[in-house]
Amino acid sequence: MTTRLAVVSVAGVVTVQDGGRPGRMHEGIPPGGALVPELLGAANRALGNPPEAAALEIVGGCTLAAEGGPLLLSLDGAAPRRLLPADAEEIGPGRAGVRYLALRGGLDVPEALGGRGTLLVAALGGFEGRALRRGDRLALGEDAHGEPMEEGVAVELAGEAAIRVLPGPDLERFEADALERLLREEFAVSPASDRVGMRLVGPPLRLRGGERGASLPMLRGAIQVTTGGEAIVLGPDHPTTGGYPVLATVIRADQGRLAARRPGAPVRFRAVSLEEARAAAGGRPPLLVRVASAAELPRCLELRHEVFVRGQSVAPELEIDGLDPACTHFVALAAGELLGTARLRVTDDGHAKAERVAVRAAARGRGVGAALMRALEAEARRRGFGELRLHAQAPVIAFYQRLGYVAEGPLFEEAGIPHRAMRRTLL
Amino acid sequence: MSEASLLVPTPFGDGAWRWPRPPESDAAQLLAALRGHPGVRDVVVTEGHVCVSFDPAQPPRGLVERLAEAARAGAAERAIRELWIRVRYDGPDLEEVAARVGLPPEEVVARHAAASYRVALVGFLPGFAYLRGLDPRLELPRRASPRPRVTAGAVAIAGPYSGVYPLDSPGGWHWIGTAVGFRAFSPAEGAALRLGDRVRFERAT
Repeated sequence: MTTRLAVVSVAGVVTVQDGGRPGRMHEGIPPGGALVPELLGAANRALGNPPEAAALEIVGGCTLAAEGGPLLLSLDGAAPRRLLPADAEEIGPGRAGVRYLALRGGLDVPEALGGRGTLLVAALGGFEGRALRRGDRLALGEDAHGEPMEEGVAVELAGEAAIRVLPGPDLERFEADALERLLREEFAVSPASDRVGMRLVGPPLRLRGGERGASLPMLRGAIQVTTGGEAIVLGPDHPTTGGYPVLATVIRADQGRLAARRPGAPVRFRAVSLEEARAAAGGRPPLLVRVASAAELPRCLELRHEVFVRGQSVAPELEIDGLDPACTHFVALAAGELLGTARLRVTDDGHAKAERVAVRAAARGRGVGAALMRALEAEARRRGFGELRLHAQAPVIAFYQRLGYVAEGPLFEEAGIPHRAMRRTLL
Repeated sequence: MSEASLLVPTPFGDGAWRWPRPPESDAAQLLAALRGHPGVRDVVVTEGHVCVSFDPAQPPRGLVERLAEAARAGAAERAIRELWIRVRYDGPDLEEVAARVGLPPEEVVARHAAASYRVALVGFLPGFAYLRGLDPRLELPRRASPRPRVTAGAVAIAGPYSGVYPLDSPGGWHWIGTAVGFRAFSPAEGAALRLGDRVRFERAT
């Protein structure tokens, strides 16, 4: 007899979900995927499954049993446990409003349009295209490539921390105070939330005009506001287009954290920059760029030594040119680690000039240089300069061009390295 | 200033960009070009916008240039599919539509079946195609209160559009007929109608 997972009882909505079926939104098919991908991934990894293998997404609770033989399962990434045919596994509410039960090998439901997850509105995928009921029996897959992890996989969903958003893209369709309200007030998760969207209970957010517009492209995380002023955060099974404007969008790294909150839980929002959002998406601590304190200057000089003297064989006496005391120094930090530095100098003829832009070799390609330049520009602008100048080493001219700098004049040599003068107008 | 530099994207969260549709651009052409671009996860083209989503940790490069190129291409280089859908004009809203537009039901049917439609947008539900080309005499705002349930295959009109419901769902459009032998969405094939397709309705007798 084949080993199967039997559903003994269900109280709530239990569906098969996986990594979703991206790439079909132009057919009107939402991307799907787990409400909380972090928990699905943890449960699967604990069992040696690929992180997006099909598993049960449990909103509410259910009781399950093994049939025909023992099963190895993990709930939300907890240490794998064996479920014997004689035992029933009762799953109630967890810390999060939604739980994931994965089985070693994954659930063997047929792939439909590129995914195994259930899209209820279209009766697509999962187990017969529907939520599970008492008496259903699910087969197991052979989709396990690694060894189970005895201690499980821990997931931190950062409790009630503010959910990070990027404002827009439809800000012009709202009254001026709408974004401010979203970022200042507290909202609560409405019980009328599902995989299509999470409704928020809170102060109304006012639209300008208030008419339903033409259909716009929609995405998971979009905070749509209805004509009545109610906010709905679109979930994985959202319609691919919609007529309500979007006030702000939850960043990818926080979509699971938000979806994990149970009805009634408080929600606050915080606006972040695109750079911070992308760093979070890459699992990296956010980048912080600011003016260096006097105590940080020696660390800046060390980094410059590493980049210019050891990395590019610049003579130490040229690197330390005696002008540092007259400059404003900047640091780029991530989780306290110095990743980059640069200085802003006012030249003898009264121009703002960016100098000694240094990024630690291991941190290149992550936008550190660009973030430093933006900070220097902001400081120069603040002091009333209309442009920022620099001497770019020949190999990085293209980098500065992408940031809006224009090269001028011929190549010249500085510290034994070919350079060109560049400048950018500050508006 | 180059054409590409005018196509400034608006960030839509950290994992997507949205542009206003370049004037004169062909929706299907934009969709095909952007879907094939490295690093692109999903593309949605509506009548007013283009939206491209991707992994926020690795935003794709060269999208603006690709978009500009596709916008220039226009519809000329693309083969256009034409689909015929047979319709039984037996919808529960047919009489009301006729009364509201001031035409006999027979004339509403004749005008609906005579027009040539184009898929202007796919969205709202899997496989739901917004068909442009409706006879302007048949334009009506959506129903004041949506029907709680419209069955899959319902042929309906609202505003400047006609459409075929892909699934049983609530519906705010005026239900005038039933498609025969046509499914707008199937779990095996996905959406039957694609952006840019030409669609004709034929009266089933």
